[in-house]
Amino acid sequence: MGSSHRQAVILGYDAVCALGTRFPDAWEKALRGDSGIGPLTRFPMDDNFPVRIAGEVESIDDLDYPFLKPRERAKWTSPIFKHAMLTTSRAIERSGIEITPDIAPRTAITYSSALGGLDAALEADRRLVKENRLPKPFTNPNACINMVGGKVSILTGATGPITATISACATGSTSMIIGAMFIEQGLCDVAICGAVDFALVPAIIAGFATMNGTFYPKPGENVPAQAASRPFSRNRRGFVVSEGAGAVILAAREFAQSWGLRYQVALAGWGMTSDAHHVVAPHLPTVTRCMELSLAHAGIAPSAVSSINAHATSTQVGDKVEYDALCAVFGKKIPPVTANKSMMGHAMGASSAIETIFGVQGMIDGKIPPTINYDPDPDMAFDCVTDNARCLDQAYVLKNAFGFGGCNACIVLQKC
Amino acid sequence: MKAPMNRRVFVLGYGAATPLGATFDLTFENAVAGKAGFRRITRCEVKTMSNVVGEIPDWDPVASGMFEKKEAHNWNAAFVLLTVAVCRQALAHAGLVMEPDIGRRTACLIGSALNGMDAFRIASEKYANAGPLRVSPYLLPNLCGNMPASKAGIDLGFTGPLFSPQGACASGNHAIGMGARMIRDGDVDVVLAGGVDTPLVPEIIQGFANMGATIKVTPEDRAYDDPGQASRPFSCDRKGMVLSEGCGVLVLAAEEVVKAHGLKPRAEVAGVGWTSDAFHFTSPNVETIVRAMHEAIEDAQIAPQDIQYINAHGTSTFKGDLSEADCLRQVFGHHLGQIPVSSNKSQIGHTLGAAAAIEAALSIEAMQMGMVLPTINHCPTPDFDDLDVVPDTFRAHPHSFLLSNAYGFGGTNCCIVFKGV
Repeated sequence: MGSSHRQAVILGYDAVCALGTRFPDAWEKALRGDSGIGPLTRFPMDDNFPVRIAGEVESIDDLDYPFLKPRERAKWTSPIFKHAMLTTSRAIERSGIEITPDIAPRTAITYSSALGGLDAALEADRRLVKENRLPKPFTNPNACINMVGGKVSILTGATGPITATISACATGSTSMIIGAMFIEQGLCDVAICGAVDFALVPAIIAGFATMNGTFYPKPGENVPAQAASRPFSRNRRGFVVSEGAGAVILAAREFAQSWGLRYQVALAGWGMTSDAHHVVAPHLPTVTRCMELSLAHAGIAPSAVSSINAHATSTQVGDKVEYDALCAVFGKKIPPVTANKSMMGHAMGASSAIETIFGVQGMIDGKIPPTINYDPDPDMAFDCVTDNARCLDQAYVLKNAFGFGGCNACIVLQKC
Repeated sequence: MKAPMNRRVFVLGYGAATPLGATFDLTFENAVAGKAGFRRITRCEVKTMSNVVGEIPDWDPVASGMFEKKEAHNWNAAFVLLTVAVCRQALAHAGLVMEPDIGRRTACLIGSALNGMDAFRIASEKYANAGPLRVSPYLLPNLCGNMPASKAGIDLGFTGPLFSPQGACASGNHAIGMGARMIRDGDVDVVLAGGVDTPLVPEIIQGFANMGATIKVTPEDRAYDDPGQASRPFSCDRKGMVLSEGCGVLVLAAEEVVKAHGLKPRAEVAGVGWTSDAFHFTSPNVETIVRAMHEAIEDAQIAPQDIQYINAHGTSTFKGDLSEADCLRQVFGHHLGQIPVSSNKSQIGHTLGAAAAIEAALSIEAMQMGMVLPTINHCPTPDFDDLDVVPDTFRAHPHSFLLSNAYGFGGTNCCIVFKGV
């Protein structure tokens, strides 16, 4: 096997999330500190259903794209497909790249999803169990997680290596890391990365509630939906499940240069570790090592990092371990930290893709969006960007993502 | 960024659980004996004639002594504990002890096509019949595709990169390909690479039946009285694949690890070829499959005629086998007749995301013993009369380069060349 050594740069990106389906609007809202959390309306529920709020993405069905035609939507019933294709289309458009027959074999696809098209499987289950009707023929393709990448490949014409790596809530970051790794390894010149999750189906939300992961009101309590997600706050009580998708187009730096494609941010380093510890509880030593590995891979000292886009889901133990790991890596000089989930909730595997995009936009604009609903926890003293967006030139940003099962993925972004 | 290395990557050992047996040794022994692992389904009730499947015999996590009863109850997505058991097997086979120092340089990449569907089904039923608060708190962990690898890490102690590479029926080769590259470039020293699927639930079985992908065993069919004959890749009467459950894991390691720990390599990962179709979500595409094979052979720095055995994807579907044969003809030309080509799916069925890893392990074991495994249930057809499919019985055939092919729904092709040691 031959080997080469090349760095990945970010050519284009797009995201849909609870803050909006047009990325520029969502970004404006994020800078204003708006919340995208509202009532959970995706399915009918009884009074005893424990969770009442979510970060839902508004409909995109009226947009003019071939994959949003009613016939296509009838076959690909899970919303993951159309959102993956929408974000991919826009990201490619934004990147200025044209996937010609020459470039197609050198274009990889790592677009993924943590939970995939479970809604399609659920529907099949209902039909079979309740109505004794056979599943629709598209049920299995809808439920195959790698089919997201398959549809992206058909949409774009890309025929390079394709895979969908899953690492629970770190899936978006892992997708970009694998894309960058493919580029570094010389397997491709361009990689279409990203992740999508639309997990608002009854059994999943109920499962998050019974495992005590998600926010739910105490009896008689009336918390405004917008105030429920509060990463790093003393009264944080779990995450708010949301929907979303984010696509990132990576390319080898020399490829971008030779085609005259513009880029402003590079993926300078990454680290991946696993905890070997607990099913859902994070583990300080391996989380710390993951951040350290990403900085070492980027070849920088902790002091070079300008800001941190945290994983911070708003759970008691998760946010504390992330803080402890930041202390272990950065000592007393933790750079400014922001937690996008305070505004958009937790879009599962898609969250790290969307948040990386927010991190990149922040580097380009020299801004950091705030962590809303912040009420400092006396056990965690650090510079949390709060209330208003902050203006700051950022040479390096650390993006953290940690998934169930102890999958850690950290990325270092570098301003070019 | 750090400078990449250019290290050789070896296969140290493997584990498997398949319809031919709950361990790799049993699987291999039965494969050599020319047996098939099919029976009428016992895992659930189905109302289709696609009711012949491959179930792992005697697989019971609690009876295995590896897991507590409560653990087995909580991990109701069957792919989780099955993977832990097979990873344990693979490490033992490799002779590798997971000390903390090596653990931090060990990745675990276990792919799957359908993941924890079975747990989702149980939860949906609970939700409908007993209410939302009866949904298991373990549901979400069970549903995460990375959880088999994560649970294996918790039980076995490795802490390097961990994720689940999903490439439908090519997932196992995705894991091997990616793992080999990560070792080569110095990201890690050891990788547990494999795949797992436990798809025997009514909706999935029915979904494949409705797609026309699996064989419907009608009363006239030769498999009606003998289910062992249901999977017959490259045969005149092939009528679709047999859906199976299984898991396969290979232990890959850098040359330095092999030397430092005095371990015995069983094969070298010589080349990886990897493409996507951009064509159709289930139909294969000849051009990109051909390119994947060419790239694997080129990556191994050999020529097509150097390949001495081909482990075919060979699912036993009418069109799929035809198209694979076309691809082989394009890559190997007039040499094809001299290269044995066989499909383990004739004996194991299609274990989806696990297939490629299981087949790689079987092929490597056979290469070490100077033989090739058969394609059983063979009934000749002019469609493939230029192919030597090693019909029905294994054959002595010393060889040192083999090509293992895997293609998946969604148009993903991943081919690997292994070199004998």
